[in-house]
Amino acid sequence: MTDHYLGFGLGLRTPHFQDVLNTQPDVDWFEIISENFMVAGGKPKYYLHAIRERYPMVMHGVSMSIGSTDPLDKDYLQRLKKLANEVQPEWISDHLCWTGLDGINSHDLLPMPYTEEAINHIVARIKQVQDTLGRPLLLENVSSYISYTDSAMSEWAFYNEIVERADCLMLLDINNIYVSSRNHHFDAQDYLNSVNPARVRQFHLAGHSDYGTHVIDTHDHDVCDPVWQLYRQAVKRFGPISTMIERDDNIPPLNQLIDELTIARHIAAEVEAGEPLIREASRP
Amino acid sequence: MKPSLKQRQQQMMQALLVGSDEIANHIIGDQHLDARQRLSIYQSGYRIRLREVIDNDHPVLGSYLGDQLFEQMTEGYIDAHPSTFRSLRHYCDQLPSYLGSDTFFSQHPHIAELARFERCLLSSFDAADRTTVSVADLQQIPPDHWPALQLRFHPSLQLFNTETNAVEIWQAIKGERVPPDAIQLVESWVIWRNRERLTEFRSVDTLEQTLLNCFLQGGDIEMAAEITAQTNEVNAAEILLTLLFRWLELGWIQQLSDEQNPSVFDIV
Repeated sequence: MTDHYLGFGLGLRTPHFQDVLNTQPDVDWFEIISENFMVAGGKPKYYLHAIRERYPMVMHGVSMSIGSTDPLDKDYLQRLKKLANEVQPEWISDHLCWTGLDGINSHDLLPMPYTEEAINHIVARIKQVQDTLGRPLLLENVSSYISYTDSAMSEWAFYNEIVERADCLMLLDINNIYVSSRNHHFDAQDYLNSVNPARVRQFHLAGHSDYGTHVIDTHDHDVCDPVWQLYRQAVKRFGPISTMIERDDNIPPLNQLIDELTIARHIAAEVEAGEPLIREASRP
Repeated sequence: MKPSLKQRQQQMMQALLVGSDEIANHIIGDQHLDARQRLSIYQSGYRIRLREVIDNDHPVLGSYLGDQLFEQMTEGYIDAHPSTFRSLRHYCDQLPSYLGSDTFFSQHPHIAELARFERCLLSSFDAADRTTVSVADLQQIPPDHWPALQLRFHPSLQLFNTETNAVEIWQAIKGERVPPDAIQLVESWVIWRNRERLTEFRSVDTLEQTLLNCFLQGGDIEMAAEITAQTNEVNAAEILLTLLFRWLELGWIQQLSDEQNPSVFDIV
C-alpha cells in the first residue's frame, strides 16, 4: 500500500451535501467535480469547505480539453489552481479527451484519434498543465462510441505512451474500459494487462446503460456485475488503489451508495486475502 | 497528405453543431452500429445535455411554457448559442437576451423577464461570500460621521427592475397556482442571499429603489436624505433610518465607509 492510497470514496454530489455533514458517513474520501465549485461563494462553497474539513478530497475536472487543438485555456488553469489552493486536494485529474474547438465547448468527453500526432500534441500540453499546477496530473480513460479510421494503435497503447512520455498518472475508469470494450469489441483484460501499474493512482467505478448493440456511460445505474468482475481483475493486477463510485444521474440516497461502496471494499479485501498481486514495477 | 488532428476536430464539431456528417467517413462502423449511428450517439448527447441544463436552471420558465414551447425555446437557443463556457453553470446566461430578440418569444416580453429573474436567482445563490454589517455596527459609528457614510452591498444583492408581472407569474408557478395573465407592470425587486445562504427576494417601492440606486452609484447618507426629503419632507430622517436599519437586518450591507477614510468603518 502506498502513501497515496486513500481507500474507498464517493463522488460528492449536491443531494448528499447535508447528509454527509449530518451523518459523517463511513466514506474514506470524496471526489469533487472541479467545475462545479468554480463559483464565488454561497452554498456550494460552504458545503465544500465544511466537508473538506472532515474528509480527504480529490479534484476531478471535465473541461480541461487536454486533447483539443485550441490553445490551452490559461484562465481555466488559473481558476483550477486557485480552487486547488482552497481545497488542497490529494490530487487533480481530468480526461484523456477533447471537449471543444474554436472556443466552443461540447461539454462531452470526445475521443481522440490514436495517432502519433495526437500523442505529441497531448504530451506537450500535459507538461504545460503540470508546470502550471505544480503537481502531476491524473488522466482518465473515457468511454467512447466511435473510433477513427486514422487511429494507428490501440487505445491502451495510446494511453500508456502519453502517460509515460508526459510523466503523469492514470485514473483508470474500470466502467469506461468495459463500455469501450463492448462498443469496440476488444478484450477488457488486454487493456488492464497493458497498463503499467506504476502509473495507476485511482480507479473509477460507475454504472452504464446497456442497449444490446452498444453501451453508454450514463452514471445513472448501480455498478453491474461485469464491471465488478473487471474491478476484481484490476485489483489483482494493480493492488490497493484508491477507488470511488461516480453517480451523476438518478442519484440514490447516500446510504445506498455507501452500501455499493461496500461491495468494492469486499472485492478488494478478498483479493488481498486470497490471491497474489501481479506487479510489474514500483510506484513513482 | 494526412489529415490533421485539427481537421478531424473541426469535422466532429460540425457534426455536433450543425449536423454535418463528413466526419462519419472517418469513423469505423461494424455490423452492430454503422458510423452514422455511432456519430448520432454524440450528436443526440450534445443536445440532450444542453436541454437538461436549460431545464435545471429554469424550472419555473419550463413549467410556464409547457413542453411544446419549451422545446421551441431550447432548440432555438442551442442552435443560436453554442456553449463558450468551461462550466455549464453559465450556459444559459444569454437566454434572456435570446428570448428578448427571438421573433416569436419577443412578442411576449414577460417570458424573457421570467428567464432573467431565474438567472438573477442563480447569481445570488453562488455570489461571493462576505460578512455583513449589523445595526449594532452602525450604532458604534459616531453620529456626526453618518452623513458621509457610503454603503457597499453584499455581492449577492441585485436590483431587478421589470416592466412586466414576471415575478408574480414566477411566484404562482412556484407555488403550483394558476399564474396571472401577463401584463405590463413597472416593478422593482431586490434579490439577495440571506445569512442562512437561502436566496430571497422582495419588492421595493420607488423611493427604496431610488435610494438603493443612490448608494449603488456611490452616494452617501446625506445625499440619500436629500432624495428622501424631496418626497417626504417631514419624516425624511425617520423614513431613511427605518430603511437603512431594515437593510442592515436583512444582511444586505457588507461595508460602511466614508470617502475620506474608506477603511475606518470597513467591517469586512
